[in-house]
Amino acid sequence: MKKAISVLLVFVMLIGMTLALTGCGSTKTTSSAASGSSAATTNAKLTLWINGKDSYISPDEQKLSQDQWYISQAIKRFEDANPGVTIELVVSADGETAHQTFKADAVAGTAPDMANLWTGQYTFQLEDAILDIKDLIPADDKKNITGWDAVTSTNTGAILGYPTSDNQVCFFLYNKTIIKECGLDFEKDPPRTIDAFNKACDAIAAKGYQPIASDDGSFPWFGCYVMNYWWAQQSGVDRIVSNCAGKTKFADDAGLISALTYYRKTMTAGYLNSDAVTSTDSWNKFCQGKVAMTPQVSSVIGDAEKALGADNIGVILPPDFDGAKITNSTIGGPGQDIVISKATKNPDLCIKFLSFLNSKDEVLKFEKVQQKVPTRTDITAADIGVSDTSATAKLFKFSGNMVFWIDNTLTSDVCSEYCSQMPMVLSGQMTPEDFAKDLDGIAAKSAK
Amino acid sequence: MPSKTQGAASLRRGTFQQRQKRSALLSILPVAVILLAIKAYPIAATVYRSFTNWDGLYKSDFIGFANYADFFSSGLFAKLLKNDLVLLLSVPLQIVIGLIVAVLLYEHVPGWRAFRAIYYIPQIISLVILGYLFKSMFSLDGPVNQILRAIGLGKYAVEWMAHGSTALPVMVGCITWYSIGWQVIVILGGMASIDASVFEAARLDGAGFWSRTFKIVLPMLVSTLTYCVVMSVVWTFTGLFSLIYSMTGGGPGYETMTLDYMIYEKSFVSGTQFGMACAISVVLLLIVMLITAAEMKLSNMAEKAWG
Repeated sequence: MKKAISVLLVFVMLIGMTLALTGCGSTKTTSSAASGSSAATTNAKLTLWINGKDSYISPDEQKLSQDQWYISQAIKRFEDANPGVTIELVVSADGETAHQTFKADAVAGTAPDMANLWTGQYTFQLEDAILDIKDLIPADDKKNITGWDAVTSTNTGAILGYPTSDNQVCFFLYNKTIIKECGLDFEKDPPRTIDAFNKACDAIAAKGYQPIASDDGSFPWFGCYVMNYWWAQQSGVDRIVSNCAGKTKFADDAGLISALTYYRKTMTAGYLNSDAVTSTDSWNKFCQGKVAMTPQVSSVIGDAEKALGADNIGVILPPDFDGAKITNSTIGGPGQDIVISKATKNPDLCIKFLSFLNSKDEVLKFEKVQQKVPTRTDITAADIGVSDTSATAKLFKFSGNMVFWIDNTLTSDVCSEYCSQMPMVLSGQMTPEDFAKDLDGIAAKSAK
Repeated sequence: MPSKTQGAASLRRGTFQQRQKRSALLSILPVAVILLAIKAYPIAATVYRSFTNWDGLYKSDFIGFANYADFFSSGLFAKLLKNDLVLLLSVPLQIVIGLIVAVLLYEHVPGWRAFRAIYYIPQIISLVILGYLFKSMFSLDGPVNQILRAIGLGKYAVEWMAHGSTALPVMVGCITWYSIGWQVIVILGGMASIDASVFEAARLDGAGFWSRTFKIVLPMLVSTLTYCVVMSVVWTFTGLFSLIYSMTGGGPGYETMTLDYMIYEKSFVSGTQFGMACAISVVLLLIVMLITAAEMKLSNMAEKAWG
């Protein structure tokens, strides 16, 4: 009897564990919406992933309950307009890991209907799991929304998502008080050439202030926000794409070498903080009024205004190299998108939602919560109540002429190596020439 | 000649032993199945994927040894292994210091209970916190440089984390400081298993502190020390991710990157080189297995020499 009970117990445990293990491994890989022709069902539930940081949910909103967030209310408005449709909002804590989570879920067959990702190569490398919506986008959206390049695959030409309504612009954010104290006036006479910029930095350093501060160790922010512009303006974006494809060489790209050389010079000349490769507090120092300029993007304007006062912060474009192909421009573009998974059963409904989210009406509501430069071309600074003299108004003007994020343009392997090794160039441990050769090696392997 | 009664008893014992064996096998079968599923399957899958160009999604074409050839020929393997070997310098440091502290605590010096707790405190701090702590301590304007400047050694107040030649020794120091507590606890446990009468007899024979330590304690601790070495080496190769992530991110460049950190870089930072990440995992596994086998062999030799 005892033997029978013990055998039975072991048998039950084995069955239980086997069932538990088989539950872990569903591997649906086929798309149920590949044709994109399934009709929207009356009762449908969609899942939407949104990044918790620097996307549709602002830091101020995170202090409120979830139902008070703009995105939650937008979802409610869509659901009210489409009875029977519910959208479940899932917040990804970290935009970076969202890509890996999306990838893992796609392989496991549990990908959401829609997901908020980063544009460019971050989205393109997931192309196999993302629906091509080129033929599904309403014509009005294609006409009135900018930034489609950021979500159009460089491999296949497929349009892989809607750019989010956040046209990030790169610039030098500066402290007006410090600049005035140094006898400069960036509002009337911003430094537009490298020589003028050098003179301005010298004047600032002479007064005992740090001209520029950045934390370029863990990620080369100064490099990606500004140095990449200097590269793109001298070489042209086509050349950069060609380098990545292995058709031309980074080592022969004079624009790259020139930009990197000047990037290094900003440190040796004392313009950039000497601990840029290891520091983590350059933003704090700027907000404390110890630093004159810092390379930044649109989304920090609100924080800067709170720290230093809206009247005390200004924005200027990066200076231009003499003879550059592109001038009076900067790096920018929509850095994020919302994609539709191939596994969705309701592609038309997803498109309807994304079109709704990017409608003029909704974007204006979004702008009341987070003032960003929108991707809609039919919304002006006046429409969102931005003062003409404010930094945000200037960003609206800058956004009309931007070079799309170069790090999003590079292939993923090249981008990874590029970002890893930039601190070595900045700190003088690697020459620009060796850096370029290193990138050529990576590009050659990727091209095989 | 066995009687019928003895034969029947023998038959019952045989049947009983078989039943025992069967029960034992059935008892460990569920755990074995789980271990195979959780450990053996992923290892086998990783080895398989290391021979493909798997991008983490659906692309997974067989490419033979291309990942391994790329990894060894790119110069990356040499650099990462060198960094791992430098970090391994923390192992003898932590064991020697741990041994000294354990021997002193065993002698019940005044306040030994408090010291035992104090030495273990670093172990309860998360490695991520520790990494950030050391990063800020050794920053350009951090406390270490401020002290150096204050005592007239300003020329040594460098940007410690900006170069591999300075960042790696700082990491060795951090790992040593973190691990001393664990070494002390394990060695004390080993020493507790030494019969007190052995020490008593040695004292009666006139053996002093040093004689007791080198002629009794150390030889009897060989197996404990072997365990400490093996576990510390394996942990150095496989357990430092969170420390490196918070302290240097493997940078600048690859100056402080290790083999296990590169697995993360290739798979999650690059985002598409999962096949290469699997190849690096296999290489790391083989290195750890080789080093462990060498350590066990040396330990057996030491045990024979001192036994």
